[in-house]
Amino acid sequence: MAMELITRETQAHLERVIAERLGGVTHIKDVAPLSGGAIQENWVINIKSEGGILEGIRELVLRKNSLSRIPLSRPRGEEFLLLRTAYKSNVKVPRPYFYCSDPSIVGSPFFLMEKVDGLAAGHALARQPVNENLVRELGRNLARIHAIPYESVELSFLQKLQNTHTLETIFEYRQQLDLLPDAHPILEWGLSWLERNAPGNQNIVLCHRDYRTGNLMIDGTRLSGVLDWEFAGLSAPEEDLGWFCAKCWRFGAIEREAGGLGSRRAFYGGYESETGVSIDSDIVFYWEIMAHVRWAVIALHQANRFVSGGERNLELALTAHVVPELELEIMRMTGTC
Amino acid sequence: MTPWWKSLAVPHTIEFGDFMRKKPSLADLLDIAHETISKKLTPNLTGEARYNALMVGNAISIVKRQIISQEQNFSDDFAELFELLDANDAEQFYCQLAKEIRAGLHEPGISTFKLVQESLLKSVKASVAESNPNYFHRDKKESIR
Repeated sequence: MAMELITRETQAHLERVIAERLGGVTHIKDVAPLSGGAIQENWVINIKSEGGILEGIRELVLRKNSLSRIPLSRPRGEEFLLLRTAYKSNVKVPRPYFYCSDPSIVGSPFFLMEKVDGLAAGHALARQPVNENLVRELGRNLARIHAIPYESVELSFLQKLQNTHTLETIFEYRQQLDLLPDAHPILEWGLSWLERNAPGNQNIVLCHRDYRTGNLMIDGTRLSGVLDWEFAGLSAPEEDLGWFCAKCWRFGAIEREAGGLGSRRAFYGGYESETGVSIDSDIVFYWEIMAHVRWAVIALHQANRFVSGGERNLELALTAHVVPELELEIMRMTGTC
Repeated sequence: MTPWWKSLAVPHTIEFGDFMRKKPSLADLLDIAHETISKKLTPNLTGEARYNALMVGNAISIVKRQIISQEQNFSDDFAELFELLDANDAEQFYCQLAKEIRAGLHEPGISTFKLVQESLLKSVKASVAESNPNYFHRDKKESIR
């Protein structure tokens, strides 16, 4: 039991809100922190509910803001709407229940969703035997995300993009670098390369923008849910493909080009079988370089939460030390042109 | 005048301090702390406690490598570039270099392109050697395409 995470008063507020939003009478039996959310805070909540949507005994996940946030991350309300849209579009995601904007309940706005079973830890998954069927399924599932209609009123907060959106992405990362206390010449070098080599007109779709091993819950040999929608937005589909395949997201199994889990061929095959469109591997390569720059920018902001954001957390402090590897890859990948 | 990057090596005052200190050295102490965590503590732990112990071990290793590498003059990687940029100190140098790269002053076709590229590559290799030297070994694996 880990009820010390919340006070009796918070427990009562939360039980009331759940009952109001989902019906029935809910009793919270246990609350414990979930590991793995470096940017947001996730709690697993065991409840017993009489009546209402949650009838019976269930495990839920409450997702709330952590003490400080990084600028690229969406507010919880927007993340909830994205998750709900994905759920309605038959993408494998945890079922979302409701969003609560009232910060007085648990200290910040939050949403509640189903807890899906499985393993998400990247290093553990990358040590399991290669599973090409799983990798194909991940490719097909990403294609389903990219097919989500994004012009609904519910997603009207998504920033519309012009043909120059790749250049706007570069501009955004430069702005993010300018918010940091130190200069980063290698990331500037990578961004200049990306600016000089930006692809022309690209298709625009709804991208998850953090679709990678570590954010995908795997139950045995199957995908059980895509987690962490806080970065989702409109972009080129190759951004998600490049992010998933980027060397920095293979968790040590760098020879397995599809997220440290299997072959790129199987991943692309699954994606292409769903879309009927061939993937341009040159454009994916471009976005893999962008992936290294982006992860470095996020990592530096996370480390800055430790350095100047007041969060005493060793994981955040160590995140800065992944940046040299990312920078090395940027130098190598941009050295070919 | 001594160039600024020479001052990044361990100053004389610390060498004197080292003479006064008892052995083992800081690096040796960190070495044994890391060994204790990784061989005696981590194997007995599971879940989040194990993850935290691994992170502590990792942090100790990084600090140890930084202490050792301070004895090498790693900033020589930028010596030629420093002369070119005419900066007064390390912070100004990095800041100016970043600005110039963003402004397109070291792009392909410009005489400084190669020098900047090689200097950045050398310096980042030194940084990886400090933060995660195993990265160079992992690199040699064959890809499953």
